[in-house]
Amino acid sequence: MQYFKLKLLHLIPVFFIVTFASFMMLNLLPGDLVDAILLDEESAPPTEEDRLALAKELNLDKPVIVRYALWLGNMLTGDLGRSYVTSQPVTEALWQRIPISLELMVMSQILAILISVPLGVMSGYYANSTFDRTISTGAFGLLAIPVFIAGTMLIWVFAIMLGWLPSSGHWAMEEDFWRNIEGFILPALTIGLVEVPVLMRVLRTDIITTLQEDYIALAKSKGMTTSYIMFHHALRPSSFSYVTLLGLQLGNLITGSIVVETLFSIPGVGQLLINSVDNRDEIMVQGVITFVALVYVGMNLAVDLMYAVLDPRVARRA
Amino acid sequence: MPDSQMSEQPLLEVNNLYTHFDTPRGVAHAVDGVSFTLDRGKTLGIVGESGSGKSVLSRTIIDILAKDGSVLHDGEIIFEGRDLRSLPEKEMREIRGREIAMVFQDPMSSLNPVKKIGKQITEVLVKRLGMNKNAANLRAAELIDSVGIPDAEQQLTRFPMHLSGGMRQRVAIAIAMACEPKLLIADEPTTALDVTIQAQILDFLREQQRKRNMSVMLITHNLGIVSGYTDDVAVMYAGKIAERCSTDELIAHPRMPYTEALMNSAPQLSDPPHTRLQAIPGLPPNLLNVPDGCRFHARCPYVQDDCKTDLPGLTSDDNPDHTFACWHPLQNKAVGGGVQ
Repeated sequence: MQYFKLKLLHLIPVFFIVTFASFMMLNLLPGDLVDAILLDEESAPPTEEDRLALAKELNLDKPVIVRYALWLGNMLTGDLGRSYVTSQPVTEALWQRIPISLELMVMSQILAILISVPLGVMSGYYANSTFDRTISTGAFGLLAIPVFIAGTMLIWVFAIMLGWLPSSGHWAMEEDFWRNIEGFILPALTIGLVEVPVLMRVLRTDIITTLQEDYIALAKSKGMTTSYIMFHHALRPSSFSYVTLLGLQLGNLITGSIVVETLFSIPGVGQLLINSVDNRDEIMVQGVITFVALVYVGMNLAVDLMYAVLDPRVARRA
Repeated sequence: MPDSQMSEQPLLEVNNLYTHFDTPRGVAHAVDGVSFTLDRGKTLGIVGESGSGKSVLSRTIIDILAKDGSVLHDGEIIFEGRDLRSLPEKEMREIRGREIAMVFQDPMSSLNPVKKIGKQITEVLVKRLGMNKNAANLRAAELIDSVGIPDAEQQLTRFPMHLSGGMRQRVAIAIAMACEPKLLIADEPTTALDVTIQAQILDFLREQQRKRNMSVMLITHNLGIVSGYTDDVAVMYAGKIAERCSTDELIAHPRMPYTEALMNSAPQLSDPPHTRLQAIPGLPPNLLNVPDGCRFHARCPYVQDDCKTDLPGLTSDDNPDHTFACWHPLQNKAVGGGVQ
């Protein structure tokens, strides 16, 4: 419990720094926000009065520090403001899209784990064999492929050539569950596959180290089967770097999902971010960044807690 | 097979066993033509310096070295009439843990740090003896109790980090005893422990051995332990057995100069304070590049010309049960003040 509190305290400043920095950077964007909003509308050119009124309404007449403080205060009460463009509350827009992005992330992580764990364990066990070399070569090849290329190739093979899965689009889960899952398979695989090489290589290295340990020799001398030894004795002590990486890759996951959501036309948080940037909807952008920061910080906390679960000695040391 | 015949046959017979490691820097001759027998209920000491091949020998017998082609074996390991080396992996796995069990040197590293102690014992009982979980838990508590750890039931839910080194080694012994093996290979079981705990653990092992009529292969570098706890002894040097006989005979009449050097390098209680230990000069030979002739010749105080060119085999003279590999064996005389 002490360990948990300590970790939580570490993460609070991180969260403030991220939101503050993003707020400042958005403020540095060139051009006048009021002009951008008013000129978008195809009415008469805005008068000075209109401009002042809008600036006042959006608090844009105040210094940036004050605006951050105001935004922060509202944020802590759960109010992220309203979109400059559609007037929809930012939280509402986020809540509509979070489940979709979350489903994509969870599925991509499940796929990444399902693929990388067996491959990592096996190539660690058969280190330097033909199997291991083949897998490693393939992994390095995969590592060199950017997300959008991987996605395009998957669409080409599974949607166009084989016609097994839809190439784009999203179906609501409550309407058609299987259709919904089906629509997520390719985008999730795209994100997951890009993560697999690094995850697999890290696990392989740690498995090789763990297999030198005496407790593995002891497990062998107890007559345990190889697969039991690998998955019950070797995997858990070998998964520290793996879990760390899984947490770190969440950064990639978020950026990856922006590209993938665009590529597969999935109305998730990533797409919301892209659209808001296009429309200079700064308050929406800030809202999305806040959400992403929350997820990132939360996942890192989860990773730290995983250490304690994986190895009871960690909780004791802290 | 009738009982009388069973008892005459040694439990373990190793014939001309080789284990070589094919490394990028060359072939390491870790075990190089080793033969010995071990009778039921007896303890055989395997003594040697670090790197003499004694640990590799034990791991070869229980067959837990890597199987990726870098480890080359030859020779026979006859256990109860069956050659373990010709057994398929599945049958060999039946023998590991059930018939032959092993205790490792460092209990700090030989127990899985992330698994509860109870689980590490019960997995043997469940997987190997087919016990159900409850029965296995009860039996595990009994085993923990039998190795002299208090509050057995509570210990089952603890992790190795919660126990001291001596306690962990007791747990390791409890794991080894779980299936009541016929042969226990103890690879330096007390080297990592305090001297006071060493005696406790060794006494305890001997007690268990007597209770179960178990044979023990006790691997150590400590001649003091050999003299106190073994019936027979094999001295290993650079992958080969240098001398082999009963423990009493070895202590009384070492024939191989290496054995003598080992004895002289052990501290004696009768020595006056501040006596300098007689270290054996030089280093054990590099197993990647073993010298011609007797492997000990570069460090031997009695070296002759033929030692440098011809490799001595194991021979004996007046006592056929006392074999040694030396062209110029020491005469039957007592050395030093006896090992404590």
